[in-house]
Amino acid sequence: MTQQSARRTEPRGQSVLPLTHPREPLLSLVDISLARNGHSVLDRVSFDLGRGETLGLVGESGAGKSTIALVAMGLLRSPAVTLEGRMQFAGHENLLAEPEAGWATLRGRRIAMIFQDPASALNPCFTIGRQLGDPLRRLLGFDRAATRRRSIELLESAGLNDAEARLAAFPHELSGGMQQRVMIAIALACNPELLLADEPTSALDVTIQAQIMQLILSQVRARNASCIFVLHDLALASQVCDRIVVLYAGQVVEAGPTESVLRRSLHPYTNALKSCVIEFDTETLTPPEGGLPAIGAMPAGCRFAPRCSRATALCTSQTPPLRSLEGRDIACWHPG
Amino acid sequence: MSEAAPIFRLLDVEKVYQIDRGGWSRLGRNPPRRLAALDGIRLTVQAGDSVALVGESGSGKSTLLRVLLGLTESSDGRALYRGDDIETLTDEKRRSFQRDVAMIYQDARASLNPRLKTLDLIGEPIRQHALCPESELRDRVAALLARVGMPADTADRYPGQLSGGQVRRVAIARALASEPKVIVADEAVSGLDVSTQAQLLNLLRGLQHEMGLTLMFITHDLAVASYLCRRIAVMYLGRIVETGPTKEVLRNPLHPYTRALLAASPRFFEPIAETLPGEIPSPIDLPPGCRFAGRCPRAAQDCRTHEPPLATTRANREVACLHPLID
Repeated sequence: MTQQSARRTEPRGQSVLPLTHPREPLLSLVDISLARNGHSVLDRVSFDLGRGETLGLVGESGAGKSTIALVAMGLLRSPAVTLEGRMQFAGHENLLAEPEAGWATLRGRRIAMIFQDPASALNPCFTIGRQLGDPLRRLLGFDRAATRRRSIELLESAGLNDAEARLAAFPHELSGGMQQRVMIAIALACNPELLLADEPTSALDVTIQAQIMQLILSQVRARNASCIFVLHDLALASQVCDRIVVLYAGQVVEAGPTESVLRRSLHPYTNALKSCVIEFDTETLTPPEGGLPAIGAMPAGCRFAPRCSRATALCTSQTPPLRSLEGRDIACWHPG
Repeated sequence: MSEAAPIFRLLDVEKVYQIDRGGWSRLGRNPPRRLAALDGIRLTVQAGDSVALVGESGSGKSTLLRVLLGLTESSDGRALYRGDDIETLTDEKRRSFQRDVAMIYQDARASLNPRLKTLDLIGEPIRQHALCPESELRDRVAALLARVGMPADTADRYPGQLSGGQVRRVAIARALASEPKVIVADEAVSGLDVSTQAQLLNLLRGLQHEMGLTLMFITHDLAVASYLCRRIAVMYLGRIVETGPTKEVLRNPLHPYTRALLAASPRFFEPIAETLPGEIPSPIDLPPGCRFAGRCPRAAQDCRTHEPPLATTRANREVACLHPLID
């Protein structure tokens, strides 16, 4: 623990807003650090998201992808969690310091989320109409008739036919794909500026995945909203994201435009992730050995060093700063 | 039966669930409603072969596995293991069947008793088949753990203390414990990180080569199928619509459904594919004709009236389509 707090004071590079960032950010996360029970979960995570942009958070489970989404949704505000850094959003200087009353006007209304598993995110006890109508009535003050009208519109634009009849249906009466369409309709009910989609298709078949991804993209574009996808599939990320942030053990290791990060990757971890993706002509896979370090037992220096083929003495002693290189941000002593 | 009998042979296997007995209406008695989970499945698996079963959820993949394992009785047709009907194996043959055919379940964590230590979980099949004296059990479990890349001290841990990837490895070690000749795996690598998935695929591939295992692998991921299995069977609504060598089928699909599945798989930097419209329809009371006709971009008039049989089109390839994609 002492080692960890010592490293906490080290600068993580001077480049808070390097070249690769969008001109007019809607959301800026600045040096977000999060600890649970004193154990670091996120370590100085910084990135920007422009208006109308789609950004993908990628990395292995435990890297902190979903945690970032929950922070951005204001859902990690418990005494057990210590949160440092700033979250700038559409003119708000720091939403992390915002009291719950302030969040209540943002959450669901200007920032909304699509959860991973629609079957468990939807309440099995209430009809689709009730769950879709809730944000319309509570956040936008619609009356009964207007709620019903708008609900039908939303379901139709989410690609559900027979929308009027669906309002009376319970979640279990719908297939997984249709449930996810309902989740999308609920998330978009108040026309949010920022949409967070945490693995929105990992519970679905590939054919339905393609439909749902197209639906999310078209709805986000139609509203000029911004979207953060949490994804584990790099190929899918390359198809839907303008920019990519690669996370490892709670730190940003490489971030920038999708083309640079995924086509000309410089970080050994990004390359390692790419080497795990199977394409139809793949003959052999060479995944990195082992897994993420345990929370509370982070190695000194670069956290990826124990699994990295290029690691040197420098890597195991000093944390690499996040710096700009060839059109992206990267935290590595030996990029390339 | 002779030694050359294939490991599995399915002869027009059908599994029909009766949903209700049919009610009365003003016009008279309605026929009972039937759900055809499997319909006319014909498949042969030779020793040492690796076969992937792919298709969307609801296509009957898991039901087919249950029939293969004798967990579900087929309603028609025959399922043979080395020439013997799986449903009517003699006690002695059933015991050897249970030892020779091991299953890796879809949800590894749920398939392992949370109150048993890894030692007992992996030791259970060894004790059941009395493969070694109790005094050697620990060494034997340690060897199996080493085989799947886990340290020996895992034996004293409970499933709750293991990560998702580790639990899958334990499930694989448990499947290997009875020294099986056939491994049947249901989505054994889905829902994992790409890195863990790649590690497990390499492990399964290695085991298959070293131990000469026959592998039946259910997956919804065509890329996983291409990496692990020599042959592929694509299922749609209870029928096999295309089979053949995996590489050939994926390079050159003959069935429009196979092509649609391929197009929907994410590929680096390509725009999201034009999607297949709609979802897999309900398997209750299917209309006549080809089951895929409602979603098929090439469906013609005859597709809605004639049901295409699974027919050989060229060497090693079979397709059930009236208008296959001929290059």
